[in-house]
Amino acid sequence: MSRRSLATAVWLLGLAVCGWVVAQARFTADMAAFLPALPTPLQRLLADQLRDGVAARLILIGIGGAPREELAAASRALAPRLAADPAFAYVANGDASLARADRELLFAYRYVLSPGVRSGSFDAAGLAAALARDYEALGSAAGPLVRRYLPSDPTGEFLRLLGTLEGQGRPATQMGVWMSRDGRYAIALAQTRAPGFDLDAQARNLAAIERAFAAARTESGAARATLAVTGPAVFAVQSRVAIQRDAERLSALAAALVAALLLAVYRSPRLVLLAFVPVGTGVLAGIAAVAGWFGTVHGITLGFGITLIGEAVDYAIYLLSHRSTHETPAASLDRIWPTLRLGMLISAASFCVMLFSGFPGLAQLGLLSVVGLVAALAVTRWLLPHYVARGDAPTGVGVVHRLVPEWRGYTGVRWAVFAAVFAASGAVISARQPIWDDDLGRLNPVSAADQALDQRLRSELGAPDVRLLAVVARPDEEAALQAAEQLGAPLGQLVDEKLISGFDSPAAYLPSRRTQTERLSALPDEARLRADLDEVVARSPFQPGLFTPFVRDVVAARAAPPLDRERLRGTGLGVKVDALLVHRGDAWYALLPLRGVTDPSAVAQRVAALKAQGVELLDLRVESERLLRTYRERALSVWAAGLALIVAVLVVHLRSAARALRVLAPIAAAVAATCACLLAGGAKLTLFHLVALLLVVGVGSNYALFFDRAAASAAERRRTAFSVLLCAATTTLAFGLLALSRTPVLGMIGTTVAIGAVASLVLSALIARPPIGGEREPVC
Amino acid sequence: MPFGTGRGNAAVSALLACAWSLAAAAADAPADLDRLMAELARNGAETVRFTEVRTSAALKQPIELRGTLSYVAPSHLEKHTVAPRDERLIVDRDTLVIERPATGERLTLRLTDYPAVRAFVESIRATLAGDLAALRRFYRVEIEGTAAQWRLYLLPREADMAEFVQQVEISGSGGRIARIEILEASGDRSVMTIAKGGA
Repeated sequence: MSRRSLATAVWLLGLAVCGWVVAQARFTADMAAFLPALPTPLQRLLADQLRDGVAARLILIGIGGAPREELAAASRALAPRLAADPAFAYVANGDASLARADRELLFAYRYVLSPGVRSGSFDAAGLAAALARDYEALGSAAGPLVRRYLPSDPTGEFLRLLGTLEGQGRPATQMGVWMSRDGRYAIALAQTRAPGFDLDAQARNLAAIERAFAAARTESGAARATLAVTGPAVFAVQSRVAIQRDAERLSALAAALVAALLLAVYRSPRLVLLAFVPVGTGVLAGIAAVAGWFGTVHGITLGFGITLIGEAVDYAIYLLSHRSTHETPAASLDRIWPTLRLGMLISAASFCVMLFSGFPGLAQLGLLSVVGLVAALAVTRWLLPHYVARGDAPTGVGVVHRLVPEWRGYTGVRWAVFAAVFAASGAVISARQPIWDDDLGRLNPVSAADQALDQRLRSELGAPDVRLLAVVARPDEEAALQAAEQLGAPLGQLVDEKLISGFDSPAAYLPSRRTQTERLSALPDEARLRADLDEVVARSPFQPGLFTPFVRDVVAARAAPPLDRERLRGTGLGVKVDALLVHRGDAWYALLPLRGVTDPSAVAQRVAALKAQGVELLDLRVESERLLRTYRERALSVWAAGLALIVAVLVVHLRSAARALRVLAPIAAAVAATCACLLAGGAKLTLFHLVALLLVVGVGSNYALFFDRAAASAAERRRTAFSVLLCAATTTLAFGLLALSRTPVLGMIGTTVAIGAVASLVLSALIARPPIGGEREPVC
Repeated sequence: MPFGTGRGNAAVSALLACAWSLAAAAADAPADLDRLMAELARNGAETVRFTEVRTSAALKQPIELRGTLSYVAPSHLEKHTVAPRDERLIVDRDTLVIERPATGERLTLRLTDYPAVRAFVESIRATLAGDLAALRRFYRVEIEGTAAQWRLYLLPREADMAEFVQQVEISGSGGRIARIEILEASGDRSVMTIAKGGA
C-alpha cells in the first residue's frame, strides 16, 4: 500500500467515524451554557430558574391588529384550542370559563387554604359574628357578591381568599378577556409542559400556537388579527433559527467568495477543492469531538466554531502558495512546517484555555477549535501533499512582493510604529470607559421591538417587577412550606411598617400538611355545627335552612384528602406554586417575592436577622450584576491565561525572548488596535469579542511567524508575502460577511476578526525579514 | 278684516290643535331608544334622594336602605347610603372608591380591572349620561313603554356579570329616572326608588 493510499484510507476512516458521531449528536441553543458555573447555591438557583423555571416555560401571546371586539373573539377562540393541546400545562386569557377551574379549586379547598379558619371561628360565637357581618355586607355595595356565596360560605373564606390572591395586580379585562389598557392587544399566556431549554419541543409548541391561531382567526372571523408571541422559550427558538440561518447562509456565501478568490489566484478548481479539505475535515472532527465529549452541541459552538477554524483554510493556502517547481510539494511543506506547526500550536494554546474556563459553552468552543485545528493541520501535513502537483506560486506574487517593505536598518522606525499604535489604542480605550457591556440582553438576537413587546405584555399582565426575594431552603417540601409559613409573621411585620407593600408565598397556594391539618381540626363535626348554627340562625335575620350547603361543605372538607401539588396541576395556582417552590439538588427552596419595597437596605437588615432560620435575601439586581462581573472576570482570566500560554509556546519554540518579543509585538498591537476600533465604533466589549480576539491572535501569529521566517531566497520571501496576503484576504472576506449578520453574536465575531485580520497583516508586515544573504532576484 | 281675521283665527286654532295633538302623540308614542338617550344626555348635575329595598329569600325581612344619589355629567356618580349604615360609593371616570366611615374602610378599584363591577356601575352611570354605546358594551338593551313612561331592560352580555345579575330594569319618564330594579342571579331583588325633586 502506497503512502498516499494509506493516508487516504486513514482520512476516509476518520471522516466516517466523525460523520457517524455527528449524525448521533443533539443540538441545543441554551444561552445559559455561555454563563459560567456559579459559586453560590442561590446564584445557581437563579440561573436554573432562568433556564428551566416556570418563567422559562411561559409563552406570552399578544393578538393585535384589529378592533377590540375582534381581538376578544380571536382570544376566546384561541384559548380553548390551546388548553385542549396536551403540550400546554396551563392556558389563561382572562376568560371566566377558563379561570373557573381555579376558582372552583379555591372554593373546594377554602377550608384548608384560608388563614381565617382557626379555632373559635366556627363555634356559636364565631358563627354569630360571621352572620352579623354578612347581614351588614348584604346591605352594602358588595351585596350581590356576598349573596352569591352566602349559603355555602357564611364565614366568607372564599371571598377572603379571592381578595388576597387577586389583590396583587391583575390584568385589565375587556370584553371578557385580558386586554392591554389601550385595547390594542388581547393577551393570553400558555405554560408549556416541556422545559424552556428543550428547543425542539418549544419550536413544536410555537408551531402549534400558530396553527391554533390560524384556526381561531377563521372561526372568530377576526381576519385582520395578527399574532405576536414572546417569552424566553420563544426567544430561544427564534435565536436558534436566526443563528443557524445566518451561520449557514453567511458561511455558504463566505465559502463561495473565498473559493472564487482562490480560483482567481490558483486558476485550478482542483487546488481550490483541495484547499477546503483540511478545514472541512477539521470542522467534522471538531463537531464529532464536542458531540462525543459533551453529548450535545450548542448552536453557537457550531456557528462560531466553524468560523474559528476558518483559520484552517490558511494552512492549505500556505502550502499551495509555497510550492515551487524545483521540489516536491512534500519538500515545500517541510520548509514551512515548523512555522505552520508553531502557528497552529499558538492558536490551539489559546483555544485550549477555554476548555478549562468553567463556561460549558466556551469549553465546547475550545474543544471544537483545538481538535479542528489539529485535524486540519494533520490533513495538510500528511494527506494534502500527496494530491498536490509540483508548481510555482501563482501569478501576482511579484506585485504583492513590492507591497511588503524591507525595513533593513529601520528597527527604530518599526518600534516607533508599534509604540504609536499602542499609544493611540490606549488613548481610545481609556477614553471609552466603561469598555465592558453589562447588558446580557444585547447578546440577544431578538429584535428590540420584540423585546419591547414582551416587556409590554408582561407589565399589562400585572407581573410585579420583583427585585427582592426572601429564600429559604429545607430538605423536603413539607419543611420548606412550613418555613415559608413561619416567614409570614416577620414579613407581615414589614408590611405593617410599610417597608414593603406585600409579599407572595408558596404556602398561600399550598399550605403545609401541618397547617392544613390544623385548619381542618378547627372545623366542628356535623352534629356540633348543626346545633350551633340552628341556635345562631334563629336569633339572626336569616332564614332557617339557608346554610345547609355550608354544613355539607364543612363535612366534606373534613373528610377530603389533603391538598397537594398533583391536585393543583394545570391551574393558575399550580403555576404559582411551581414558581415559588423549587426543588433543586437535595433542597427545596421556598421563594417569597417582596412587592413594593420602599427601603431595600432596611428590608435587607430585617431579613438578615432571620439568618439563623436559614432565610436569605436574594436581590435580583445585585445578584445579576454580580453574575455579570463573575462572568467577565472569568472571561478575562481565561484570556490572560491564553496569552500567557501563547508567550510560553513562542519562547520555548523560538528559543529566544527577543524573537518572541518581535513576533508578539505586531500581534499585541493588532489586538490593541482592534479593541480601539471596536470601541471607537461605539461597541462595548463582550465575552464574544474576547473569544474573537483569540482568533485574531491565532491568525495574526501565523502572519507574524511567516514574516519573521528567514526566507531562503527572495523567491521564497515573495511566496511568503503572497500567501500571507491571500490568507488575510480570505479571512477578511469571510468575517467581513459575518459582520453583516443580524445575529449580534455572529456580527460581533465577524467585525472583530475582520478588523483584526487587516490590522495583523499590516503590523506583521513591519517585521518582515529580508531574505538570507540579501541577494536580490529579479522579479519574475 | 273680520273675515280675514276669522279665517286667521281658525287657522291659528287649527294650528294650535294640530300642535297639541302632535305633542300628545309624542308623549304617547312608543319609546325610542335613541331619543331617550338624547333626552337623558341632557342631565347635567343633580342630587336626589333614594330608597332601596332589598328582598331576599335568605332574609326573614327585607333590608331597606336610604340615602342620596349625586350625578355630575358625564362620569361622576356618588351613592351615599345614610341608613342603616353610612357608606359612600364614589365613581369617577375609571375609579371606584368605597368608604365606610364607621370602620374607616376605604377601598379603591380601577373599573377596567373589574369588568363585573364596571358593568354594574355603567347600568346607572351610562344610563344617566345617555351613553348607549357604553351600555351596549355590557348589556343587551331593550326598551318598552312610551316616552312619558319608559322602561329600559339591561341584560348582561358577559358571563362573569351574568353570574351575579340577571337583569336591570330602569324606568322613568322623559329624561328622569324614577326606579331601578336589579334582579340578581340568586333570585334576590333590589328596588331603588328615586324621589322627585332635589335632595
